[in-house]
Amino acid sequence: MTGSELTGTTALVTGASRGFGRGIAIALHEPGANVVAVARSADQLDRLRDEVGRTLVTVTARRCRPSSRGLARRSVPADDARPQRGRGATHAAAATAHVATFSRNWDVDTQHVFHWTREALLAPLAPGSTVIAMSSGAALRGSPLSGGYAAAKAGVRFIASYAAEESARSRTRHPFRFRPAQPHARDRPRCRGGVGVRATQRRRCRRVHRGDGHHAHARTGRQVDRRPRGVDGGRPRRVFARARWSVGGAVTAGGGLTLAPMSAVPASGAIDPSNSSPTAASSRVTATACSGPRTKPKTPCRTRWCAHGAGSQRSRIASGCGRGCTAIATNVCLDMLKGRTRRAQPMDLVSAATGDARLGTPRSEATWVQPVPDDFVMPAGRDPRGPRGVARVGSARVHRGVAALGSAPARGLDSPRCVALARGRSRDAARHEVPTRSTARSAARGPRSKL
Amino acid sequence: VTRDSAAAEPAEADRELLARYIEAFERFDVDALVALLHEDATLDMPPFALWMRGRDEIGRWMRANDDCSHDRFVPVAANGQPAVAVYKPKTEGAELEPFAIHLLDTTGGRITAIHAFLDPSLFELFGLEINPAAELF
Repeated sequence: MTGSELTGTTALVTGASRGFGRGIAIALHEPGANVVAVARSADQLDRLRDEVGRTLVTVTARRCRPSSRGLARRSVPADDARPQRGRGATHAAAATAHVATFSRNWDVDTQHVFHWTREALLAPLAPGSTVIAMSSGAALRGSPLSGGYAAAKAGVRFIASYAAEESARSRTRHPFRFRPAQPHARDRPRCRGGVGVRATQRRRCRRVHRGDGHHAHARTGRQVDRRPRGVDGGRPRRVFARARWSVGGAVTAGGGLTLAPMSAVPASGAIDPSNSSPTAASSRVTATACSGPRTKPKTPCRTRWCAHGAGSQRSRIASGCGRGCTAIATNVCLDMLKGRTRRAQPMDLVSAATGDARLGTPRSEATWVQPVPDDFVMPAGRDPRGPRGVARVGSARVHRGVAALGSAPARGLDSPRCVALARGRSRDAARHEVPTRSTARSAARGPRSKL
Repeated sequence: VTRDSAAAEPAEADRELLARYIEAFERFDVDALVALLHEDATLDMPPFALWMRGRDEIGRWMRANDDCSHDRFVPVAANGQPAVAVYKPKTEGAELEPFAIHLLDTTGGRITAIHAFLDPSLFELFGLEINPAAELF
């Protein structure tokens, strides 16, 4: 995959104002993807847009409070809620840790992924889309000083893998894929001809406050009394985070999830967990994809990792990528328009009635595509309207039929609440798809009615 | 009633159409309403699965099912289309309460679809007043 293949595709990156998410947003935007950057900090999003250009679409996510109905999408904007950033690990030895800090990542990171994943399964994602949930190497190896963080990130992995299994079981309903991913300590593109984006996140120091007046090595927990440079307030200061292209493009996500067309996403999702060290001086996300018939996976680790996220794709990938990855990317583009578990409009489910029919009984909230306030999904002061129902912001296009993606934690007021799903793809993006019978059929049928 | 940012700012044609739609609804003039519809317009009403197609069917439905003459309407901005929130008195003369949010698809000055979300809980999402004072209208 080359950068030009990203032209016209749409990627939605949550947690895009900082860290990995920010790096990923930049890395996708540079070669031409339409990036919708979602974060809670309008200021940081503005800075990001100033940096990368006005063509970046930014969406300030809402912090919402669950309404009495308790449903995610019915959540209410909680404008009085204290802004709270996505959480890094809070380091403390077990004896000095507190359950409040132990559970904080759960309330932010894991719930974020939970709500997005649920909505990605319910909402009308474009066929061929991929959802990537960002986890951490700490989920694989544990972390003595940030156990809650590691547990929360493990939860992220589980959620994504459950969703992967569900979508693999019912491809006709969920013709998009889920992948967990996590930072990689080393920067090793896995296959020649493949692609990778590396979001590089460097930490100046791997020593952290332990909470009891001493410092400790972040990974081993061994006490280190010399105060390290770069430690700021007990948390490792992230000196910078950036992403850049290696040989092509791929998508991962910061803080949470990225939704992107398959054509923008590596088939294998990446990452050799055995080499990952979350506290390495330089930890990287490497997402690789095999794009040509000559490519083969170089390591069994990658194969295992692919298998983890990809459900029934295991055998194909394990037997060597070959054309497998491309084929998988194509084969999952099945017609989902009549999917029973996707959000739908009434005309998707039943045939037209006459004017003397009875209303019947209501169906559950999860059945329906729902309306969303314009100001939830469009930058203030911009015209959400455009030709054929497509919003045009800079060069990016976002279907005006946006489905509200709500989320609302039971307890925290922390994670992004209401965000948008860019539906559909531009024609440029569509050109990069290998048409299948079903995509051809849906293309012939024309665009789905807006709402 | 609406937040500032939720105030509707439809393009001129849509704004005019929405105003006529609201006006017709306030008088509950079904003929005038139907006249705004495209011949093949659809009406759907989530969370109910029922929907119908065609100006005549929609007219029949409205005459048979609704008395909207006491309803009150507040334009909202939703999905980048003309939209209006509908308050309905529980009984005649009673206080208004949230009833529905209508989204209109439009083409060439006609309404091609009415998506009437009969779901009062959406009002919170849109920042709309749950207990509107009558004098607001």
